[in-house]
Amino acid sequence: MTTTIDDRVPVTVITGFLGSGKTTLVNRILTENHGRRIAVIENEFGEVGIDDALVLDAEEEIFEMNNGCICCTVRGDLIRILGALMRRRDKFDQILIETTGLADPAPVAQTFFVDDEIRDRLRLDAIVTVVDAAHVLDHLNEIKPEGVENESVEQVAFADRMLLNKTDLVSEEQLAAVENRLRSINRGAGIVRTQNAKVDLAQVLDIGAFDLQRVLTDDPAFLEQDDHQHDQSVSSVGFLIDGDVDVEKLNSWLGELLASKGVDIFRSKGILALAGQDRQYVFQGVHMLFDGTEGRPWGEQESRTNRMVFIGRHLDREALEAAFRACLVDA
Amino acid sequence: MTPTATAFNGWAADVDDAVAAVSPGPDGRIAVAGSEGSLTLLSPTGEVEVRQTLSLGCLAVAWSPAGDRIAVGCIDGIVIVDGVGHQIARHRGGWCSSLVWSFDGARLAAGMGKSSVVYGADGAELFRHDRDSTVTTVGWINRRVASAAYGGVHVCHVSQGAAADVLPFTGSLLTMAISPDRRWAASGNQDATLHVWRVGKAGEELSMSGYPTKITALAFSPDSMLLASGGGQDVTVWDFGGRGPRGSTPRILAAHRQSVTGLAWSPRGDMLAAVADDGCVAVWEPRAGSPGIPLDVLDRLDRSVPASAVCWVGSDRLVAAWADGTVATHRVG
Repeated sequence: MTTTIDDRVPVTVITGFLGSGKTTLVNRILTENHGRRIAVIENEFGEVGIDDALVLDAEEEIFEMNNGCICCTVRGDLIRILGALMRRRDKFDQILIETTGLADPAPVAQTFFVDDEIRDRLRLDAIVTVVDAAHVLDHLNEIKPEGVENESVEQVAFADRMLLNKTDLVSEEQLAAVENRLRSINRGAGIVRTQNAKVDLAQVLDIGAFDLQRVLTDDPAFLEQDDHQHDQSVSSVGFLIDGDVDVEKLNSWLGELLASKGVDIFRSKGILALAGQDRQYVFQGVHMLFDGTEGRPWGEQESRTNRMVFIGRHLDREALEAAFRACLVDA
Repeated sequence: MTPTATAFNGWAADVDDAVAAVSPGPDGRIAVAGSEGSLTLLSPTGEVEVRQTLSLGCLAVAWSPAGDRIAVGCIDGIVIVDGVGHQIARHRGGWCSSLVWSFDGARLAAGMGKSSVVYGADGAELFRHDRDSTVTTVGWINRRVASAAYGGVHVCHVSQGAAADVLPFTGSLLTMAISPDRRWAASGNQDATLHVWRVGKAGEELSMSGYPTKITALAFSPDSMLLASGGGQDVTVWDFGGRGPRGSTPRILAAHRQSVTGLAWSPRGDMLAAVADDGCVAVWEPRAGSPGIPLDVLDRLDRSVPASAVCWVGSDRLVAAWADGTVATHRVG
């Protein structure tokens, strides 16, 4: 836990199936007059400088850190390229990473937790998943052989923000069905409907924890929903709990929870009220790895409400909530 | 008391790029590769003789033993220029963070994306060995070329079709050093370990852990007796004399407050210079110390921007470089 305001460069990871509109989104971000200096790491074409942006090429290289555990895989190519980027004198306001359509988001996200150099200087702001409204259900419903992950389910599960793109190609009923399906997997991420990936950049860049706050406030149903899902499908659990959190109890619970269930818990996120702290504590985890920083100060009239979201398989809402309550100071 | 120096006693130059790597020429000139893509050649007195932009980012530079060639590794390939900066050859083909000339300057080994490649001095490709992931470091073991990448070190005879000797390691190798006597290969790894193999003796391996962070800097002393390693803010020096470092206590050289980014032994091997992200250049006489006992620095220079590269010109003059484009020389002692 750091004691100063986070001044690390925000990194946005853009995922989505081939043809969903990722490249259109990246080009839109690059050409829009936003006054930010942006570096882009992508797969599609070679190194070119576009106006105020630097576009670098990367070929996915997944490295296991520790004997094949999926929770310890990282992207070696990103460690190298981001390292070289950070050695330049020109400072970037924003870094975008565009993944391939089939990429597993976990190693990308885990890179920001595992490598010290990257963790010290860069902040994983959000994973933005671009979804093709016309085709996503087919991808999500595709049955994979035993032991093989459905990449589009993973990309939806890992998202902090979903761009439901190509809304002009489907009916309102179909859109509603797609949104329901996306929410059944990941209720923690806001959905933005777009055509040609045309979106207000404030909806995708530097959104950080604000997203979480909004989702939990705007979607109260999320907080009561209990699917009792014990099959292989991916779902999410979120809760709002008032009270001050005991840091030591929290660390010990999260450490134990993610060590034992980290394979099934894709993502965990929280905005927490730590005992004795005037500022919010913003927490995020990917599988077994987690990290936290100080957020904005709690308002004078604001109730100190902890917000927590888990996305993954075999999530037991009652157990998670009870364990979290046990971390409160007056528990 | 620790002697300190706050300013360098030689010249200082500005190459207008964050320095990625430096290489000394045989005549006292310095080649400087910049993170934003520049190559600068400095005269023996620090004047900018040549400055050109080669790519969107340079990673490595190596002046040939005869001084007639300079090879520059870039994020998108390799450029070879002559001693006054005229381009001889250019190959695009991926990440090139390591280049080493053969002792006679006739051949250049380079990591090129997921391959180790040997070029002639005219830039023609003579040999290529493919790996499964990006080659981070190359080195010569007599007439064979060694490459480090995820999964270990491969050592190849420079003739097509010959099988590689594999020095295995399950993990991501970030840097490699071959001892000058060719007995040892060592790698610094992403998982904060140092791995050592006896070249030519399969299975004789050592693994050193306990480093605070990944190891990106390694250097054997010219007599192959000591191996200096980064991996955090301290320099750890292992003794390879006698039966090797197995079970031994290393010397810990502490002067920096941030991660060590570069290491260089003086040509006689009496002094070791280390640069770090805190901007400090520190010099020790490691042989004067004993394992387990703190050793005072012989000399140090402090600046407030990250120091990124260091090399020696002559027996007692070092060249250090920083992220703000400053390159400076300093006579030690």
